[in-house]
Amino acid sequence: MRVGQLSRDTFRTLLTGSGLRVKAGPFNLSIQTRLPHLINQLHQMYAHYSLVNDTEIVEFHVRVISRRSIRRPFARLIQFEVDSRSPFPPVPAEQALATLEWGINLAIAMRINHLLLFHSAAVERNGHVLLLPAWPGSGKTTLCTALIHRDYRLFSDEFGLMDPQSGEFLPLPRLMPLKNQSIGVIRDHFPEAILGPEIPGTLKGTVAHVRPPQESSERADETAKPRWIVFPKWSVGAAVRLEPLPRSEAFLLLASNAFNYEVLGETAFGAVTSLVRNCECRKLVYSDFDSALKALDELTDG
Amino acid sequence: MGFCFRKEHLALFIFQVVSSDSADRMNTWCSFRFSSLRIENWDGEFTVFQPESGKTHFLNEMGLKILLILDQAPTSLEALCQELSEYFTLSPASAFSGQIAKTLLRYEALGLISRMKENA
Repeated sequence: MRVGQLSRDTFRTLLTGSGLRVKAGPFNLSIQTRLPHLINQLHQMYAHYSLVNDTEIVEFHVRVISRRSIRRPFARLIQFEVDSRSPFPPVPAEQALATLEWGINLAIAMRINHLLLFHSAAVERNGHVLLLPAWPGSGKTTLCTALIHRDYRLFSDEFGLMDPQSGEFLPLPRLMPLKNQSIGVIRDHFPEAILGPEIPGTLKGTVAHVRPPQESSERADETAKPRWIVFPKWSVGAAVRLEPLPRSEAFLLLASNAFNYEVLGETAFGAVTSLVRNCECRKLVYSDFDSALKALDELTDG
Repeated sequence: MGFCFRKEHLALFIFQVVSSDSADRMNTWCSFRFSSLRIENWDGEFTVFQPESGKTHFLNEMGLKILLILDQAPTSLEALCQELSEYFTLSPASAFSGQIAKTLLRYEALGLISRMKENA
């Protein structure tokens, strides 16, 4: 059963009561909140998320609660909690959705060590995963959003989840936070994209989340082997270039941007070695989507 | 030969000129638990996983050759420079010994090699 099949009343009852239990890729979440605007936003944005059976274990218990501040008595503030701990200071109530999503990301990044977590977008085409590892601010979420609206299947805009034993990648299709100018770019290029409200004033500027396509959510249990690793870089006015990248450099870049490479030690070393040896490694420089998508289509054809 | 850190756990070894003659020429050097290292060759560059520290090092060909020589037998700085010069067909250069000395100190700090005092 999916969130969108719940009546709004039932949905609200779960969130304000025992918790809304939903799947996020290989993880289960329980979410609680009493904030009316957040409840409304989640009902729309989580519509394709699968519900978790009562018998299944939930890895993360998160909630977003109202907060009062002595220093700012009239401010409407909220706080994110994971397992009753608050990793972030209170923020304005309007930022509840963004804070919830970042909080869930943080919980995954800090706690998951049975999988190797690359800081990377990941999409699937023709049965294989295309990894797009990049540092924050390089436009990977924007590029990932473009790809999933051109028939690539979303794995994640943030985490490349690799099972180090099997080498398989696991989907984690969640909301994708577009920032600032990217919001307008995506609205212009992909009017069919479903975006949440624009949330101004966050640490990353104005944020609007993209809802994962229904098919990506429905196929969230389908893992795939990686075949291409492309390091993208958006550069104003640049002609598109998709060039081979030495595998040694790909190793360095991948290992250094994994969240838990050092924690996993030799397991991670072996996994990254295997990944790089078995994938085509490229770097992509681009300034416009159409040429970048064409180059990636050609790479991933067949 | 020196080091450039890409991130805490990744050391990138690159050539760099150093002026200090920091080698203790009375020492000989030997590799430390070389057999435990996991080494992958990437067309002449090498990733080396060191189980003792859990760190991954990135070596060029000369960086690895130093470890290989020191794994064969304890070697002085002078003999090491001589063997490297012959292997890589390098012209004698005064800065070379300083570069290698710096690398040995760095390797020692990383626990990849250790020094042995000469008896004589």
